[in-house]
Amino acid sequence: MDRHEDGRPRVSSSQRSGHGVAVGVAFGASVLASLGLAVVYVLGGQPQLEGALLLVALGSIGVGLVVWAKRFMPVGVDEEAREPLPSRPEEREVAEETFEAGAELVGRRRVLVRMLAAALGALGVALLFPIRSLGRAPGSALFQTKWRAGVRAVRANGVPVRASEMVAGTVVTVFPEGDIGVADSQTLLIGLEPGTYRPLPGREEWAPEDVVGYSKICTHVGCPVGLYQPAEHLLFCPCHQSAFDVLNGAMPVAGPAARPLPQLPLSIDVDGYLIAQDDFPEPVGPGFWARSRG
Amino acid sequence: MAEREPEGFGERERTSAREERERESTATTLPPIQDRIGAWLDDRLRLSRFARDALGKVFPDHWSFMLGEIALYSFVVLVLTGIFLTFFYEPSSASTTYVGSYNPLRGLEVSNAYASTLRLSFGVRAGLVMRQTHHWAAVVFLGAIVVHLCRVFFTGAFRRPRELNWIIGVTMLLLALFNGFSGYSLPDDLLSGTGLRIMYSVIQSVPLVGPWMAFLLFGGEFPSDQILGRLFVLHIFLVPVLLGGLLAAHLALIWHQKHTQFREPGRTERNVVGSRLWPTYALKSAGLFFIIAAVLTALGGLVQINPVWLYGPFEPAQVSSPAQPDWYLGWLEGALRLFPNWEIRAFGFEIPEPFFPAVLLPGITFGLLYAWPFLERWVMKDRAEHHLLDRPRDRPWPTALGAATLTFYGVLFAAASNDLLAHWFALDIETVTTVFRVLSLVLPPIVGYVTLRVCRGLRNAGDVRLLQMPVSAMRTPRARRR
Amino acid sequence: MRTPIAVAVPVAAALALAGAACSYFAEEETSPYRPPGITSEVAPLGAGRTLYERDCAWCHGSAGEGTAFGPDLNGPLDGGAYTHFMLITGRMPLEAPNERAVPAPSRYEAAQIDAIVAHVETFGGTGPDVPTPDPSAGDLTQGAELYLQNCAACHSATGAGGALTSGQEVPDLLHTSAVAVAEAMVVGPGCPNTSPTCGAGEGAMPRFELSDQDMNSIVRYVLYLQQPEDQGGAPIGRVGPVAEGAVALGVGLVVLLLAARWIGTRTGDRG
Repeated sequence: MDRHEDGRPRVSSSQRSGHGVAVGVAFGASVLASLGLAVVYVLGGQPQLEGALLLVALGSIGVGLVVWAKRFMPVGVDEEAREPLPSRPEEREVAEETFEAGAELVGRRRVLVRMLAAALGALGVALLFPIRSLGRAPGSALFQTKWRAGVRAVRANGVPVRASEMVAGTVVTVFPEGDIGVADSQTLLIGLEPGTYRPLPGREEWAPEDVVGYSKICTHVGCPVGLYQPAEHLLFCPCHQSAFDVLNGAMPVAGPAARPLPQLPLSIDVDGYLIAQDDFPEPVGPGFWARSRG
Repeated sequence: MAEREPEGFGERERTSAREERERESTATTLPPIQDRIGAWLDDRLRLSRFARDALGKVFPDHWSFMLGEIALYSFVVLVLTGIFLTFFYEPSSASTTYVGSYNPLRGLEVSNAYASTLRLSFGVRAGLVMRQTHHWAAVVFLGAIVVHLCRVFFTGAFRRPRELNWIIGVTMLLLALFNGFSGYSLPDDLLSGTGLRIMYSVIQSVPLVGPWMAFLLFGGEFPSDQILGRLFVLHIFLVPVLLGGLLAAHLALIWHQKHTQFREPGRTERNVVGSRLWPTYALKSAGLFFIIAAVLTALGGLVQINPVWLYGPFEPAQVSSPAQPDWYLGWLEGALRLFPNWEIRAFGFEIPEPFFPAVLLPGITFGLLYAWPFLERWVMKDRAEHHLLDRPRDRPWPTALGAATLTFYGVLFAAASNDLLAHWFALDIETVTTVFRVLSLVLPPIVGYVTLRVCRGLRNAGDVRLLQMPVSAMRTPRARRR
Repeated sequence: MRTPIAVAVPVAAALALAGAACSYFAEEETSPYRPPGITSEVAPLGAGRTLYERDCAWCHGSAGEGTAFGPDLNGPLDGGAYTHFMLITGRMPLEAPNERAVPAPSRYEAAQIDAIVAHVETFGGTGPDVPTPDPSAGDLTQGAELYLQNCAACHSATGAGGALTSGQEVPDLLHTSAVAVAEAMVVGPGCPNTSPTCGAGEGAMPRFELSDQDMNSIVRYVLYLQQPEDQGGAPIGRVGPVAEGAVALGVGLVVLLLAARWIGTRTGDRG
């Protein structure tokens, strides 16, 4: 934009009055929009109308102000000197001397200074202790869930699961009876086709009537592994796309998970409901420093 | 630079001020209200010299110096809308039955936090607009910070004497990242709860102290009933106070050291050329604020964001896909998706895989960000004061490194949408992931090299704009000094 | 060459985009599979058996016994529901035997589908019959709860669908019918690419044992998801933060950057 020496725009007076009208119209539109906002609110409110009216109410003021500044104000012609940022040497000396004079007085009592340091240090350390109140020690919490020998597997609505219901291709999320909704105990029961279960050594009796159970907590960063693909017998985690082979001890076959989903040893009680034989043989969920030492 | 004022100086000042006002009052008929207020304040605070200096202060006008203001004014919108939200949100995990007006969830057992968010969205007039504006403002806030950081980086504005301001800025970026994450976790919906679970597991993966840190920060095993309350206090009080304080320091430093400017006719290392604060800059800046507020509120009313009623309340055994965090954490999410399943196990201890992409990588990222002014000074051996900015082409190596780094994080950011890309374009998700893995290693050096050549080409071609540079100028292998 | 970058880069980008668009949007004429040597004569329409012999028997066998090209239709899952689902969602018939069954416009009219289903049911499969869901009898909240527990992980809480392994897709639920939803839950359908002959339990989707009330509720909620109350404004796909980030950066921030360019000066300007 062409400007005079004093920074104001070089425009004809009719152009300038045109700009003035534009700014005035903008502010006027804002007034109307604000009135509209009040009306919309009184009538019960409606988000889209509120958004559109706010756009006009706020935006008109903004546009008006900018046009006013650009078209009527001096722009870009003012100059200011920068003073050197570092203080002048003599000023710095005065400041240093002022500090050192006092520091010398304090520092004469070296023993006292050291004891003050010790006192402040000890206090600082002591004040860190309440941080411990923020939470309990992990203890054995990460090493066990609520599953115990003989506990029935129940759905989120409390209904226990019969082995006969778990035909091939079905999957259901279960919890230990009495601990529905406990996050670390969430487990998937999956129905397999007869003869397809390939147990890891020692786990031959863990999948009665071709129903197998795995922890639902992904061993990567803990999302529920909610996607089951029956054809490939894959559990697929939606967060970072880890895939676990259900037929083969839930070994990770793709994605960033490095460890299999822990398997829950299952059994069937006298009424035909699925129960756990014991807790998971290893900690569920993502890894941590001492996980193998539990 | 305080010289000891001679004794009685105050009296002389007061006398001359009173004389001046008397002179003025005889010159005008009735002093307008602002004169009265001004005089009342000045009588008590000796503001005149400060007012004269402040109102006449010169600010350079270049548009790229307004990017920080976009961030600043987004923050103002965040605070204003946020205050409204705090009157309605309940930071509690305690269970309640939702009985509000959103039918599909009526009768469901949800947390108080979730129920209060639904009530705010559907039962409070202007509540949904406030909530959505708040969320849009947060997302734009971080975008503005990143763009502003890039401008500062690529023009070398962080060099002496502004290293301190750079450090303050990077810290504000960290605080903003945290506040964004904590903010969208407050409604306790299924999507953000999944994000909290991921954050918990990432903290847990830290060697030695991981489980302790996770238990202390969250108040127990996941999901604790204390995390919402803690995030709430951090989100509405501690972090905004820190951000506000750092913002004040940031602005004070700019005020004290004066803003940088580009090399143009009339600009030197010893002056500032631009517009005065009053009236030009104040009007422009106020106009920008209103435009920002307009765009954010328009989005807040017209475009839906974070429809927590569709995601449902957080339940630890439930999950929805696709599951992504807000965009500014996309680079972390992409890193978690791309990093292979490598874990370190020895002597019965282990460093789980998430530690590397989710703790080590961000640590290195922010460590480099903090250290950059000092690194560059050490490498370039440049200890001079700089008040004039360089064009990116005049700093080819930092520009190339910056472009390569942005490319790297850009690939990670894109990789966070790998499942959506596979779904939309009917691709194999494993292939998409592999492609991103390769791109993350191969693309940054290519972009860096191309950037280097473009910088040199621009310098060889004389003073041309980027889009007018002839392609042949990039062919010369070395920069010719003119 | 002395072409300015301002010309070279956009031209190259446009060419690349055009090439990608051409390959992506290329439509091919489709027709059901025919073994080589058979011409596509037009059989008289109407009877289910005629249609079946014309379009389905090549892969599934005249009595539904299966062939090398396709699975049998007389197994424990086969019957009214499975067949009806495959036909009304256009997954069947395929153009080629080793193609993936994906949602497509249905090739037949309703009467024709009913006729084919009736014929397939004579093969002896013991799977469930075509269900008759009654969404209005379902409970919307119970449907929401069951959907979030069982379906959201794959189909997305908003019904937008997603991706599985090996290039398989979870379809969105935004254009499906009530009966298709009920059938899918009961049968767990989907013929994956990896298996030339699919059978019981080998779908891409698990099966669910549901009471009538549960089924009605879930169907009711899925229908709700097709037209939810988007009180917040434009839903931008209901895929979550990815779309929201795109709008915030691509629209919001871009507009504000343009505003800054308008308000401030550019190098070389004088305001």
